Amino acid sequence: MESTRTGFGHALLEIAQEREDILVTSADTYRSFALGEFVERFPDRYFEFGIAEQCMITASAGMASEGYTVFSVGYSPFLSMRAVEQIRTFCAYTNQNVKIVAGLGGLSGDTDGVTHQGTEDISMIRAIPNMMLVSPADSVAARAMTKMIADIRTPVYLRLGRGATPIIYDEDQTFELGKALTARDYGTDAAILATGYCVGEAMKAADALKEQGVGVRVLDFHTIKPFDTEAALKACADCGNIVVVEDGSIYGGLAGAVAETFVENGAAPKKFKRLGLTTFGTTGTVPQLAEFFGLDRKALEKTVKDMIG
Amino acid sequence: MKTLTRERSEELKALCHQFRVETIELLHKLQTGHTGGSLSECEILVTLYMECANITAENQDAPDRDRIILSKGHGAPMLYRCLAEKGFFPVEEMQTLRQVGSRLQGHPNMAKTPGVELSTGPLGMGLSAGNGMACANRLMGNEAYVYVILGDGELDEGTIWEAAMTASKFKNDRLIAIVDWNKVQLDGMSADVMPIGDLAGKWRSFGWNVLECDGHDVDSVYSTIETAKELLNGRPTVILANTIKGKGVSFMENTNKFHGKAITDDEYERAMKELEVLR
Repeated sequence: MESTRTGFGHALLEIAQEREDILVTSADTYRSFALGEFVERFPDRYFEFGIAEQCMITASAGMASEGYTVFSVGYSPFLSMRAVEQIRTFCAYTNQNVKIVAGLGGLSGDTDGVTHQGTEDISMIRAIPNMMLVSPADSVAARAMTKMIADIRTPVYLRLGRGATPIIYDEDQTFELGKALTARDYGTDAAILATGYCVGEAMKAADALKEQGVGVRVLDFHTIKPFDTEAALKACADCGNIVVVEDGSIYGGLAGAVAETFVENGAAPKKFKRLGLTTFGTTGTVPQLAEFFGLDRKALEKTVKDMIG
Repeated sequence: MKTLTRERSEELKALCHQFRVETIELLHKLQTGHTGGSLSECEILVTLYMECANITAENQDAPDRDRIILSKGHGAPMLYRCLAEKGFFPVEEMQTLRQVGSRLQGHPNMAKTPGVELSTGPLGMGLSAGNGMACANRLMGNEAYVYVILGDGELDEGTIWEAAMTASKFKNDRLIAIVDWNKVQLDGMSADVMPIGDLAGKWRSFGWNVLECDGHDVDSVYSTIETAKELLNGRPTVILANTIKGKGVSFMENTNKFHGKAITDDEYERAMKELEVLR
């Protein structure tokens, strides 16, 4: 178990040792992102803005316009909503090299409740041109993808969680930005398309279903934008039964991206089910919330079984 | 105190007059664009671009060039006219302002218009970006100045005061904010829309040096900016430039009516008569 924030923080420290162009801006949040050592070792490259996300994001764009690669850390609801205009206009419209690093993505704000849960962030950020949206499923993925986004010079929204979550990938797992990862490929009875925390639940469901003779493919959409159209269409063609699962709003979220892709390309799934939020969240631990909103292994197992009759 | 020579002062005054006339002609012809704010910021921009700031079309990519951010992005027409004068693009291109496909967007776009340091328009944000540039420049060892031209209306935005705290914290003494203090905004007089109170006192309490000038007197603008450049005392500096919205045309002055409204033929003729008289 490890938080995706920890994976990010460790990766950034590694990168910063080799690259002087890496800056960190913080909204009173650097300790939450395991950046204590970064700040200690590179005090000149750390800028603390206090609890002022809009100011931080805009200043980060100013730093990026001078040639720096700026990782701006804060919490998903306050970055993706309070500072969304600053992300859109000063980072994306201007195509600045700012990495918006958002903890508390999806339901990971857990017991703090709705105010601290970034359950609309995918929908908000997806609509913005020039933005890449990356949503790693575990700490291993977060570490790898932090390094990958540091190497591109465009704005990126990195959607992270909060607490420790299961490690689902081996240390040597490789990822490719913009390409969904096939996390399980046990057959073509159904495909589960997932992102973030829900990928682990989907893998567990696939493992359990395999024992029951049901073959499921699990795709990890760690990059939601640009969207891997090809993988989604192939899953539809191969498996027919499609389940999309995410710990945020299905409206404009991963489910929205999948549905748009299917319709636009004339792909007709036999059955199509969206598991995610259509309401606000509520207080609870992440596993409790996953169960409450029907996003966990059990819900996925049942959904797939109901689909294949 | 540095002063302009009499000859240079007269040249700048003539340029301001010319730019006023041209801006009104253009905005009347196009039937779009912000007149009032363009006229109030005229002397500030002209003095800054033509005299105080180290900016030329040739050094536009040089790390040590000064940066100018027009935070009140709706003042784009006068900004573009200054950039054209500096040779960033042909003056004739001004005719494409706000037209489909033009490099001269309604609000400044750094990706499209040569010489524009930052895309602006959403009010209250230029000072934050200026802070970022100032921090980055110091880190790189650049002694460039970052000038941010603020409208007084946008001081309503909380982000301005977040940025004011930030600049002070980071000791950005090469950051110079100039408030185009025309006391009028979209809906009416600023004192009615949102009374700003003791503006100088507010900036001082945020840790800034505060200077004041006559924003329509190029000599006063010049001397004050040059004074600000020399302060370098670990504090950012704000210049409160007393201006008149719609300056130069009597019926456009001190009113919100010409913030962004199209100029009628009658108004255009009256304005031209007034400006010809002044000529």
